[in-house]
Amino acid sequence: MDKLIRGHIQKARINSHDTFADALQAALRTLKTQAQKNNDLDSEIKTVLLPAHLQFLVALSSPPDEATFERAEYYLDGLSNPKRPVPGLTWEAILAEEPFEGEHWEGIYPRSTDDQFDAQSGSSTPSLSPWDDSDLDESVTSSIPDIDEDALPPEAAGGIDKPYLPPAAYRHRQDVEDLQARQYWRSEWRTDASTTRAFNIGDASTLGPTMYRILGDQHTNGIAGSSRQKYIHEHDAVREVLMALQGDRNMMLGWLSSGGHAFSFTPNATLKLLHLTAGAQHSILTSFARLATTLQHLRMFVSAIYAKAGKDDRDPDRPMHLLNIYRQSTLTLEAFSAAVDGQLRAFNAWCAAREEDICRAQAGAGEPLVVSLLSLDKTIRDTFSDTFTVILDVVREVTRRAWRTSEPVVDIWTLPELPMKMPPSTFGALLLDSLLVAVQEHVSMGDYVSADALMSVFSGSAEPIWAMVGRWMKDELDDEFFVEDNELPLLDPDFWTDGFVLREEGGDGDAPRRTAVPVFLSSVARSILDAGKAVGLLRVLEIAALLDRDTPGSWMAHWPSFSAILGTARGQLEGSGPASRLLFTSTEDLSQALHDAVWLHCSLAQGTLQRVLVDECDLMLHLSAIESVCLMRRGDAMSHFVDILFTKMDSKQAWNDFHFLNTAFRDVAEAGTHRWVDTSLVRFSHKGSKDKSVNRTVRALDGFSIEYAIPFPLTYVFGPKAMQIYSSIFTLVLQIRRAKSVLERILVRGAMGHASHMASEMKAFYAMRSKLSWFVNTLLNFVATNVLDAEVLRFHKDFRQAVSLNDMIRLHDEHLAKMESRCLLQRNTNALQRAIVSILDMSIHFSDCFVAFAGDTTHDISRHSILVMKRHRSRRVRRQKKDVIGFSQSMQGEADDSSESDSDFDDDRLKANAPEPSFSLGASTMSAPEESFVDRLDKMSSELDALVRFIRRGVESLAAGSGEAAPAFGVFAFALEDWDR
Amino acid sequence: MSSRESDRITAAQQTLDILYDISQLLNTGLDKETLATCVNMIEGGVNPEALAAVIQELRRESQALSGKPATNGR
Repeated sequence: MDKLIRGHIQKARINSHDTFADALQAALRTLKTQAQKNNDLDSEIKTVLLPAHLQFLVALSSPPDEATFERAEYYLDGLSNPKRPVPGLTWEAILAEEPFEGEHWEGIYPRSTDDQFDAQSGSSTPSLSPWDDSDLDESVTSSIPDIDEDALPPEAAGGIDKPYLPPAAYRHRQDVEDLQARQYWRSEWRTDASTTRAFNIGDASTLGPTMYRILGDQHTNGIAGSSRQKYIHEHDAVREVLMALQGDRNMMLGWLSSGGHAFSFTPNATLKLLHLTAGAQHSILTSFARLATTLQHLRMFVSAIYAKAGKDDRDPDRPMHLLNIYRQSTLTLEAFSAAVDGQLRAFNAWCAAREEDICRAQAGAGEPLVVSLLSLDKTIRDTFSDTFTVILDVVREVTRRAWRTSEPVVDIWTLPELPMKMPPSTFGALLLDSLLVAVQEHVSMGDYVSADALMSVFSGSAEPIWAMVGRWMKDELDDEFFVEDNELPLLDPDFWTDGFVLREEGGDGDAPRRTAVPVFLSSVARSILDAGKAVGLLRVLEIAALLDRDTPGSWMAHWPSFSAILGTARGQLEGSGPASRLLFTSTEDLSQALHDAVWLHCSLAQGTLQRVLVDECDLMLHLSAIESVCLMRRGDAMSHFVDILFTKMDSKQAWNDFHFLNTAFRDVAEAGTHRWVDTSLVRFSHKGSKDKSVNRTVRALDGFSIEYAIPFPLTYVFGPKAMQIYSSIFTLVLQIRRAKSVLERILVRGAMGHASHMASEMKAFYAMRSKLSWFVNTLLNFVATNVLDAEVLRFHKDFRQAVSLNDMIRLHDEHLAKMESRCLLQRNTNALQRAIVSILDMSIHFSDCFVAFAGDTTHDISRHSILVMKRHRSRRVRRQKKDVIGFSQSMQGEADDSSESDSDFDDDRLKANAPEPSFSLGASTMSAPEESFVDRLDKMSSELDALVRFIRRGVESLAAGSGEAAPAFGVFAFALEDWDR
Repeated sequence: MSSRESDRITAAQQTLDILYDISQLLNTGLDKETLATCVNMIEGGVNPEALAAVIQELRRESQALSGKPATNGR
C-alpha cells in the first residue's frame, strides 16, 4: 500500500507538483505516527485495517487538479503553522462530544480529560495567563470569559449564579501600571515625594532638592551638574550600587573606557537622593566606584588569564621558544586567577544575597531591614575589608616587576598578552612571595578579614607548585618548578651536585640573584631537591623497593594538597581563637608545617639511598681500599711499593713509566694472601717528564696521580676532585718518605773510619744528617699519625652515621679538606709547604754532597749490579762538578712549571708576618768548586735552622688560631719545640 | 464512561481526520460523512476494492442519469 502511495508521490514530483507531493508525504507520515500511537485492538478504526482504507482511497483517487494543489498548500501550511487555539475550534470540539453534552458531565469528567483532549487535538492548552489575552482585540476578549469558564476547573465554574468576573484586561492593565510604578529605572518614573517643598530642618528629604536649587542656580558646583535631576529612593540606589559592584549595567555608576579616568567607574551625577547633598552623595558613590573599579579590573584580569589558558592548548603552532621560555601564563598564575575568581564570585553571591534581602524586606517576606548606602559601605568593609584592593595591588606590583618597568601598571589584564621578562618559575615565586607578604602585613595590622581571604587566595595559588613538589619527589620535573635540570649526563661525577639545582635568575650586573624558590618553601627546598634526586638515583639503580610507582599505597601515593596541610596545621591551633589561628600565616610556621609534611618522604628517600649505597654498592670496601693506597694505610704493602719505586729512582731508570708503576703496584698488592684492594681499579700515573730531576728535588714527584675507578653511583662521593686531593696527600707522603729513604741510605759511621783526616768533617756530616732526619721523621710521624690516622678514624665514625648521600659527600669533602689543611697542602699554607719541600730537597742535596765527599758509601739493599752503579756514579760525580745547584733557583723553576696555578696564589695570612723562606744556598756559593764541604755544610745547617724555625713559627701561629685544626697543629708545634734542645 | 473509552474515540476521530486529508489530496471526491461511512464499512469487513468499484459504478450511474460527461475517472 505504502508503495502505491509512494508511487503517487513520485508521480507528483515528476509532474513538478512538489507542494502536492510534500503534502501527501506529510499526511502519510502523520497517519503512520497516529497508527503507532493508537495501537489498540479495540479502537474504532483498527490499525491493521489502515492499509485497506488507503487502498480504498487510492482506488477512488483521481488526478490532482488546481483545487487539490490549493488544498495541499493549505494542508502544509496548517502543519507548519499550527493554528492558534482559536476558541471556536475548542468550542466545537467540546460540542462534538455529543453523547456527553449537557450539565451532567461537568461533574463526572475530571479536569485532566480536558487537558488531555486539548493536548491530543494538536493544539496547545489555552493559556490561562491574562497577559496573553491582553494583546487580543476587544472582539476576541469579549468571548474570553466564557471560554475561561469552561476551561476552569468545574469547582470554579460550577455555579450558574456565579458573579460575573470583571474583565481581565482591566485588572491586568492595573497590574502592569502598578509594576511600572515601581520601576524606578524608567525615564518617566517620578518619586512620590515632593521635590519642591521648602527646606525643613525636620524633614531630611528636603535637603537634596534645596541644595540643588541653591547651587544649581549659581552654577558654581560642577558636581551638581546642569542636567535634569531625577530623584530615586535610597533602597533603589543601594540595589543599583550592588549591581555596579557585581560589574553589571546600572544607573549609579558608569564605566568609562576612555578619557582621563579610563577603565574606571565614575558616579552618575544625574540621579539624586533626596536627603543627600550632591557632594555627600558624590563622595559616598566615589568610594563605591573605587571598589567597583578594583573589582572590575580583577574580573578583567581573571578572564584574560582564563582566555589565555584556554587558547594556549589549541595553539600549538606558536614558536617553541616563546612557548617555553616566556610562557606568559603559568600554572601558578592560573591557579592564582582561579583563586581570585573564587573570591570575586563569593563577593557577587554576597551582593546578590543583599539584594535578595532588600527585595524580601520590600515584599514584607523577610526581616525588616534598614537599607542605606552608608550601611552598605560599612557591611562591605566588615565582610571583605581590603581584600580586593590588596589583591589588585599585588597583581600590579608583580606585573610591574615581571615587565621590569618602573611606572605603575594599570592595565593588568594585558599581562597574559605581553611577554614577561622573567622565567615562569621566578614569576610564580614572586607572586607567591608577594601574596604571603600581603597576608602577613594584614595579620600584623589586625585585619583578619583581609588576611583570611588573602590566605585562601595564597593557598589556592600555592597548590600547583606544591603539586609540582609532589611530582618532583616522584621523579617528574615540571618546567615551571624551582628545580632546574642542567642536563648533565648521569655518569658525570658532578651529576649529583650539579645535575639538578635550585633555579636561580639574574646575577648579572648589580641585581642580586633571585632564586625561584618561594620564601615559604625555601627552608624545605633543599631537602625536597635532595629527596627528588635520591628518588631519581634510586630509580636509575632500579631499586624498586619502595618506589614502585604503580603499586597503590606505596611511595608518594597520597600527596596531600597544600590546603590540606594548611588545614591540618591550622587545626592544631584550633580553639585558641581566630586571631591566633591566623597568626599561623608567618613564614616560619608555614615552613615548619611543610617541613613536617615532606620530612618523612625526604628522610625515607635519602635513607634508602644511603642504605643502598652502603649495602649494595660496597661503599665502605672502596673507601678502605682508597685509604689503603692513597694514605698508605696499608703500611707493609705500600712500603714495598715505595721501596721498589725508590730503587728505580736511584738506579736512574724510568721510574715514572705508567706500566712500571702499575705492574709494581699489582705485584705488591697481590703478593699477600689477603686481597685488600682490587688492583684492576687502581691506576698510578705520573704526568710530566721530571724523572731526571728526581735526584735533585722531591718536587719531581708532584705529578703523581692515583686514579681509582670507582663504580657508578659512588663516583658522586669519590669524584675526580676528591681523588686529586688523595693524590696530593699521597705525593706528600711519598716525598717525605723519599727524603727519609735518601737520608737513611747514608752510612756515616764505620765506612769512613779509615779516613782519619776527614774525621772532623764526618762529624759535621753526621750532625747534619741527624738534624735532617730528625725533622723528616718528626714530619712523617705527624702526618701519618696525627693527621691521617686520626682523621680517618674520626671520619669513619661520622661516616657511619650519615643518613643521606649529601651527608656522605659533605662529610667526605670535609674530611679531605681537613687532611689537606693539616698536611699544609692548602693554598694559605703555601709558604710552609714550600719550606718543607725545601728541607726535603735539602736532604737529597745533602745526600749528594755526602756522596761527593765520601764516595758512594750509601747503603742500598737493593743494589743489583756494581757495573751499573759504577757507571752511574761516575756520571753523577761528573754532573756534580759541572752542575750548579741552586735551591732557590731550582725551587723557582719547579714552582713555575709544576704548579703554575699556585704561583698566582700566594698565602694571604702568612705572607704578612712571615718572611718568604729563602733557601739562600746561592748559585755563586754553590758553584765555587774550591769551596770546602765544611763551609757548605755550615751554610746548609744555618739554612735548615732558619727553615725549621720558620715552619715552627708558622705552625705555632696555626695552632694558636681558632681553626678546628688548631689542636692538631699544636701537636706538631710541640714536637718542633724539640728542635732547640 | 472511562477515559480510556474517550481516548479511543478521540483517536478514531483523529485517524478519520487524517484519512480525510489524504482523501482530499488524492482527489477522491468524497465528503467527510461519506468517508466515515466507507471507513465504517471497511472496518466492518467490506472489501475496499469492491467498495471502490461500487462507488465508481454509482457515480457513473448518476452521471448517466443526469447526462453530464464524467468529470473524473480512472
